[in-house]
Amino acid sequence: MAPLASDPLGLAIDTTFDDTSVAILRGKREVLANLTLSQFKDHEEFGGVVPERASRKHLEAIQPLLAQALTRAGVGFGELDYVAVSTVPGLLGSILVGLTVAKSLAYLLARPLIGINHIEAHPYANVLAHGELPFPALHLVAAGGHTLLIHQTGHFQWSIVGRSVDDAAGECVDKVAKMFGHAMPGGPAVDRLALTHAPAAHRFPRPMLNDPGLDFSFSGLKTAVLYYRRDHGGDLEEGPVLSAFFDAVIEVLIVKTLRAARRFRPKAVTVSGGLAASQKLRAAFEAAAAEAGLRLLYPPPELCTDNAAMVACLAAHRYAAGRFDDLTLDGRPNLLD
Amino acid sequence: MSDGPSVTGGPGVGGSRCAAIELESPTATRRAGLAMGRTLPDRALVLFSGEMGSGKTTLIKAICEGLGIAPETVISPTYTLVNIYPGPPPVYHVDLFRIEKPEAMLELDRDDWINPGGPTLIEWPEAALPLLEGESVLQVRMAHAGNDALRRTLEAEGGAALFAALFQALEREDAAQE
Repeated sequence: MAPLASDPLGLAIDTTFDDTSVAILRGKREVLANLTLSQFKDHEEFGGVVPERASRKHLEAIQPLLAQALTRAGVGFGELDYVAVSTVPGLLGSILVGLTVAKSLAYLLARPLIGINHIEAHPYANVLAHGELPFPALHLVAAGGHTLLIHQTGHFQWSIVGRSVDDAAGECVDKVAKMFGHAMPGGPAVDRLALTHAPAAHRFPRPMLNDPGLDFSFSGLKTAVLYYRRDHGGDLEEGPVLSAFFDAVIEVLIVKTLRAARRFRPKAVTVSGGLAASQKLRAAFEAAAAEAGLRLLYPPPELCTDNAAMVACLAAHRYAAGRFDDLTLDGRPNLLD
Repeated sequence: MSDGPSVTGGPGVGGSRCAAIELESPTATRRAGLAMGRTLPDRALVLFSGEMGSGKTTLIKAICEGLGIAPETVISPTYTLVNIYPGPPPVYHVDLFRIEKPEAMLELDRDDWINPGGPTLIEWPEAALPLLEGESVLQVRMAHAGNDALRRTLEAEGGAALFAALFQALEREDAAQE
């Protein structure tokens, strides 16, 4: 295999979740293309494919998306220095679509193959936006299926120190939004209402806040809103109620993150994942971090949700370290095995 | 059973059986779940229904615990669709809340959501019902009991022979509560 390129051109593929994503990265931070299928949902060349959380949809989307990404980046397959793919966590059938394409390309181009943990990649959206992370770092990853606190002491050296024991925070927000008639995902609608309405006087529970650990629980909060709504019926104004509810979610996330920061004394705290796009959450985190004297980083909204650029960014660090995988690389459905 | 999801399937030898028990608290729900997990047959398919807050999370955590899974690892699969808890036996925990049309199920590989080597627990199973015709399933329905914030009813319906041990365990739980 060729010696390592100093400014490598990398391709990353992510099919772990709902969206099919492809990115092309120069070096560790220069995003040449970052495409997700959902950006193209009405596009003819994808045969009118609507993003579905399914392996066959990924299969239909991956080739045209790859071609688009190469065109956008203005590069050919032959110029790639490595091929990266997310292999964990997600539906195995969906992961295998991306993995099979990545393996085929790596084999045909005789380039290194790099398997990436999608969750480990989320904080790297901050590297793209702000530059290298100082270590140790503490990451709050609030993505659709996961709410996690990650302690990272160096590249590839990380551990999960807190997580939701039932619903993810984003899921709780989406489900409460749905109770009030908002379409899934309702997070952005709740964020808007919370920004423009003072919270109702009712104080919703802050689950596990008094538990000394770093785990989260959001299932009971969702139920509390359900009961509150049922007991108050028609005369309920949704803005103040959702604002009060969102305050509870944000407070739990902040208190646990700050508690973890006191324990691990990180040089930076990052927030990533779909919920990190919330303006109200960002403002609250900024205030709390400033008060605690912590350096806070979060990515621009388009890099908060699932994307392959963050996968490529982590892969570029793996490439620089010479840590590659071989063609026996396999997918894993579970984050924690 | 009332308005839970239903499949047209053979209950198998011995016909179908239904049990309903009242659970006075989350602790009772947890005990019932533990008993169900310990008596669930290999590769059982269990369908759960009941509105938000009716105790499905509590029950399923306990069923998994009864199957030998650490309950804190049992989290919502609403976004992931399927959580696989390594066993033995491995347990598939499925949530089809986000699948709106049954056709979308055809886009998934069956092995992605039906466990080939252990039990499969499915929340919000409506979209999967057409694909489960002819399967011998256990249907579990959770509901609030009256206006008491803590009380729930649990109804279970399935093949009398296949789920005989489970129905016996539920009977014992019912008796223990009274």
